[in-house]
Amino acid sequence: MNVIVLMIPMALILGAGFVGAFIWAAKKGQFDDLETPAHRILAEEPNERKPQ
Amino acid sequence: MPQQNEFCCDACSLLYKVIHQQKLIEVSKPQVQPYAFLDQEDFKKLYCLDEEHRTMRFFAKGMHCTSCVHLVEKLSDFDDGILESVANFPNSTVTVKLNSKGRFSQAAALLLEVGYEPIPIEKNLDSTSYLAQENRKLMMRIAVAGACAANIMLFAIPVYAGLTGSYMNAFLWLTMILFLPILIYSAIPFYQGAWGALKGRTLSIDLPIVIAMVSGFALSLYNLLIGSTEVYFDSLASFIFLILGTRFLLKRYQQKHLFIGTLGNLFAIEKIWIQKSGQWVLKPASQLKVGELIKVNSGDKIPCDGQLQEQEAYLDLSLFSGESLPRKVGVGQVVFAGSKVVGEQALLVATAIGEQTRLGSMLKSIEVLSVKKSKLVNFTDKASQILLLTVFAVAALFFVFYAQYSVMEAFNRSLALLIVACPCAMAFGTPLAFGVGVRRASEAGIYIKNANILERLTEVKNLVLDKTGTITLGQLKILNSQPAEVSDLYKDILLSLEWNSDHPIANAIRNQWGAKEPKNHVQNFIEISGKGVEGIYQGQRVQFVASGSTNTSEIVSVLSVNGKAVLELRFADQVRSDSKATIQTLKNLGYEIWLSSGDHQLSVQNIANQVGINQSRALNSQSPEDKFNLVSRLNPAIMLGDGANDSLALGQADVGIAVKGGMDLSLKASDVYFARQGISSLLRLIQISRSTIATVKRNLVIALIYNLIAGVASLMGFVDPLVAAILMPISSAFIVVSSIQGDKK
Repeated sequence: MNVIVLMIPMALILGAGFVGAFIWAAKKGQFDDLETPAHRILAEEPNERKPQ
Repeated sequence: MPQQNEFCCDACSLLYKVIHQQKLIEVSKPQVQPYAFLDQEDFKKLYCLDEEHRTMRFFAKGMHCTSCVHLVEKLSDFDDGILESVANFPNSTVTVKLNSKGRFSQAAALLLEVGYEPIPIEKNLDSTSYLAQENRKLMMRIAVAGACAANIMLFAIPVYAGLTGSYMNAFLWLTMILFLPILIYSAIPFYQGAWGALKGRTLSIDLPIVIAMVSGFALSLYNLLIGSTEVYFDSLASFIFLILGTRFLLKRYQQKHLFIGTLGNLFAIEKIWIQKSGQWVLKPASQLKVGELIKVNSGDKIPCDGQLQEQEAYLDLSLFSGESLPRKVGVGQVVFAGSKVVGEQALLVATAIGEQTRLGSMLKSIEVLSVKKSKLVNFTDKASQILLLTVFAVAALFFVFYAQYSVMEAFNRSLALLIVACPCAMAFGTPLAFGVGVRRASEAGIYIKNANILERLTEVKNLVLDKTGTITLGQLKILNSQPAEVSDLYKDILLSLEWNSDHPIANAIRNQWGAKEPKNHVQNFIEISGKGVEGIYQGQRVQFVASGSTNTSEIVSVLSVNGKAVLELRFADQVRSDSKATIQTLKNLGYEIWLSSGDHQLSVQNIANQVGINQSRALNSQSPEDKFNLVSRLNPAIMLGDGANDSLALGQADVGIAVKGGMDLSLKASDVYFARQGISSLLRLIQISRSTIATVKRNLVIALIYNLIAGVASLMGFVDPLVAAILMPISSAFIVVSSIQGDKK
């Protein structure tokens, strides 16, 4: 049963990793506008980026 | 190429052309000209979102479908200077980013060319970025609370299943550690809310939540330290997660109104012509000083209170009177900020600016009113406060009485009572029910700023309606003509005569006969001030002037060719088709209806008769202050209006509703905004508010029954952490299902 001593911290770290990923995405503004991307995905071709 | 009529809208058809025919959109010089001010440093400072002055956000009027999004985001294909353009569909905004070659005037003209009138958004007034920050923070708090609550469950279940010994101890400690992020980070909004309410000496649902959470945590921690298994971190964590989640939902729905509300600021006056050492220069309105000479072009709004110079002017004073017809103002007279110039340009010397203007003082009182309103306490907050006090009193009394038998047992049973008797129904049942109501309303084009009005709507029976633009169309229409058939020649003469005019009569003519450019343009055009227009049409002298009318609710204008009257047109504002039926239904529902208008007696009486409002309740010639007084006297009252002249009353009313059409001030002052014209949305809103309140009351009943049963059980010692962990989700599930189901009407 000693394996649990290893597994619990690992599970917690994994969970923390996902929470961290969510926080990162939220900070980047991924969830600011939940409606427009649904329209955008229907566009035919991606816009080419221009030099700055 | 498909036929023109196979496209649902202009955006789709234009997008098809752009994609399939590689047709790039050209922008001509005259189109760029009106936006040239955007390239001035003064204005860039005002609008640009970044330090380098490369990014600007526009409100793009009229975005409504997927093609609109694509078209707007293709701006960079049409112009080398545009790096990217990003649409926000729900807010109808476009953020444009330029490279070093780009010019904002060009970008704005392009937006207009593809069919969306661009309105630049001032950096400081742009609430979207602030709201986005708030939303992001709340989402992070919810994520942390959710992850921790789920993990706490994971460790709590083995303990319930019979885990003992050192593993049990370790697991219980783990649940405590996992609860800390919730206590320290996720629950911050509750601390802020409770503290804010305490400072303002008002009741708030946050306070009972904080007390239940903190006392639950402290007592569970104490039990953990003395080696008892009476710990409740799992129940508390899921409770906090649920409340945060439902609040987030409600907030998201309400923000829809908030954004529309802030548009009022966007339409504020932003640029004015100021005379500086003999030269007319275009400057941001904020740079205007008292005593400076300014000019306001036809169709623009006056930015300050001022004294009229050199020539008389015709002003649309609907901001103050609600009336659609322009009035003549003589040289030397004082004009107020917010009035619109019709006809020729007006020159004036600024006498008061900003908050010192009549408009500014109105704005200020509206703000004071809305702060006052936001402090009103709703019924559920009061109910939860009473419930909490009762629970605490019972717990304390029980502890005192039972302590003589066993202090430990008394302590644990009181603690169990505190935790199972959380005010769940109010804490998340009410926001959830309101959220469902607000969302259902927004599907019907009704945007609610503050869900509390759903409660007030069911109690208030006095209803004050504005006339112009609310129960009438708010614009002149051609009532009839003499002779009845108007020949194409006369139509063309009238269209060309009124081609450049912004007068309501000109708009009525264009609305009736199409806004196409006339075949022949009038030469030697003169505006006969206050009467009409005159010019030479293909060698003949044509004139369209008002004849002295006997009836103030109608205007009669006569067209004459070479001095001979050939056509008489009668114009009047008309009642909306659905007004009468709506008012009848409202009366049947028991509402007391008042009409309050800034218009003349005759036209108010006329309209009141048409829609069936009692003459004694149809008030005419009402100033904004009169309307305010009426609403305060009727207290409580619902007010429905569309003009800025209604805004004081809208702010004062228990429920202020702005109707589509009025943009600026009325929106700011209102609690609700109808995106569909007319008053028929009110019926839907009343229906929604009734079913929402029914749901809230049902939740309260469920909560009361649950609290009675759970409360008695916990005092009798039947509730331990396991029972709490089962009972609380069950009651929550009941409340959630009850709230979401609502009355599906």
